[in-house]
Amino acid sequence: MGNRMRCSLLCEDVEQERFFRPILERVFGTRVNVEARKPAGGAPFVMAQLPRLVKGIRQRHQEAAGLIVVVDGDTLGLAARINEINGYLARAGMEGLRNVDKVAVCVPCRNIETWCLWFCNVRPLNEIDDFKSRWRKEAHKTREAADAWFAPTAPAEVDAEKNTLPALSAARAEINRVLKLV
Amino acid sequence: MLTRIFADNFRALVNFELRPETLTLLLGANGSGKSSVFQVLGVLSDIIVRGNPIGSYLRYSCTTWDTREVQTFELDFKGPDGALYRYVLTVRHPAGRMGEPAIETEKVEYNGAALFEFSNGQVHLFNDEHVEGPVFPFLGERSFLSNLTSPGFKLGWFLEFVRGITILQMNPFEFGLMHEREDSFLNREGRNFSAFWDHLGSELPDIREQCVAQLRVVMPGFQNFRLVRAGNQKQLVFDFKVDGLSYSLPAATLSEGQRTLSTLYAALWGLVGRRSLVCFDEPDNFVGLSEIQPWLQSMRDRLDSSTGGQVMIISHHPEVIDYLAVDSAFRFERSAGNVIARPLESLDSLSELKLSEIIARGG
Repeated sequence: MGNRMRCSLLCEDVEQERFFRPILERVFGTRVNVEARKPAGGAPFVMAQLPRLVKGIRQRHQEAAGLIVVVDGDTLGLAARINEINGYLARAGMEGLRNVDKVAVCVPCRNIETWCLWFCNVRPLNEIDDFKSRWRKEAHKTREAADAWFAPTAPAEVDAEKNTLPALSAARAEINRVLKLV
Repeated sequence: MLTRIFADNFRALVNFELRPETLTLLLGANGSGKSSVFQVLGVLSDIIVRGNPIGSYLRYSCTTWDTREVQTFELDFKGPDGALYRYVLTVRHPAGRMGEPAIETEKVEYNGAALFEFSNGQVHLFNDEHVEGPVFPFLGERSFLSNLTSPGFKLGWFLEFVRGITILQMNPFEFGLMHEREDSFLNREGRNFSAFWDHLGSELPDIREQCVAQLRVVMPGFQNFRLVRAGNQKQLVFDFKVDGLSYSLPAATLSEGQRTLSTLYAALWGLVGRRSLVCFDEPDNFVGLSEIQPWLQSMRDRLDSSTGGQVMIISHHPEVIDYLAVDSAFRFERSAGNVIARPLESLDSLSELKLSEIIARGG
């Protein structure tokens, strides 16, 4: 299957896969393996799979492989989700996530639909309210949104993103950090 | 899009209903009735499109433990304008189900209004405004629908959809390795795969190139396909380059897995999104573990980028189950002999185990 950089994508649902997989494949040229999902599994199932997969990535640190974890912030938000993840790892007897880990945690707040709407220039948005009902499930729009993820933006737009959707800026930095390590 | 399949008194399907989505996974134990659903689609498609005698498809197909002489099939479709198309076929199996089966009624409806009807030995034709036209006698041994040469727009859409139903159950041992003429279709076992590749190359070169590009990623060393003449036949040859060494292999010398993989990608690019509905029966057979998910990912991308494409997959494979579990997925069970298709949501969502693991443990 070639020697390309490989990433495992641990996410909750198809919408998250539609958003992130093209970014990883097209922008970074990685091969993506989507980890198991479950109907109605949601964030708890992602969390349950996390210790095993993080352990695997840490054990195979010399391989060109990374793990991208995507879990919606929902009502918790970015910081609380990160704490929750570290709590799951601690309960499994593992150290919390470190900067040297090839593990990127992306927390769409409030959910992935908010980010899709952002890239479709829908305003105003915030990380608190649920905009899911405003997102029409049109795949090509999701794809356009994903393509826009790393498109060059004006400084004013970067500031607007940081101020309005800080979790989006954080996710961008996380993915760049991990894929440089990989 | 096909939105509902109903079958009653056909093999193990009794009062059976399934509501598929754009991408639908059917799973369940052997003998649970999954393939019978594909059989329903295949049989109805052949009856409607080819017009062959229904006896050749349906004789002795009634449910063994049922004594009724009438079989019923219904298919619902969502048309391009969002309208509900419904096809209904009832077949009588006379003389205690030992006689020659015959169509009792056959209907095509658009939002409940008739487009075509056969009942009491009479064919009733309707135009797009549902105004009744000619009425004439016809025998119930075959469907009249295949005789329609210039149907209206609505009935034409229905017939085109049914014509596009494709069922694939790849068997690389059956693949024909030489061909004379190209084929625009891929038959059920993939026997004509070299003729289909020939068609892709000559009629859909862009599609062929995209397919080849993906195969270069998933098949180590693969470079391209060529067709080599041998008398009046053509042979498919695969070109490879590994560690700077170039070599060519006729399709006959490829492994069963390589033949299956290349045909799966040919079907993905040449049929999915181009045919109305493509049904894959255990596409993971013969294919390596790491080769399954890339094909499924490409399938999702292909469906996302096409308008109107639809896929149904039967599989037992954990890679397929865990990847497609969040799509429309149904688990087949036999309750008192009859087949029931339950949505997968009903399985334990709180367990830390993967869905495939739960199923493997009998959950």
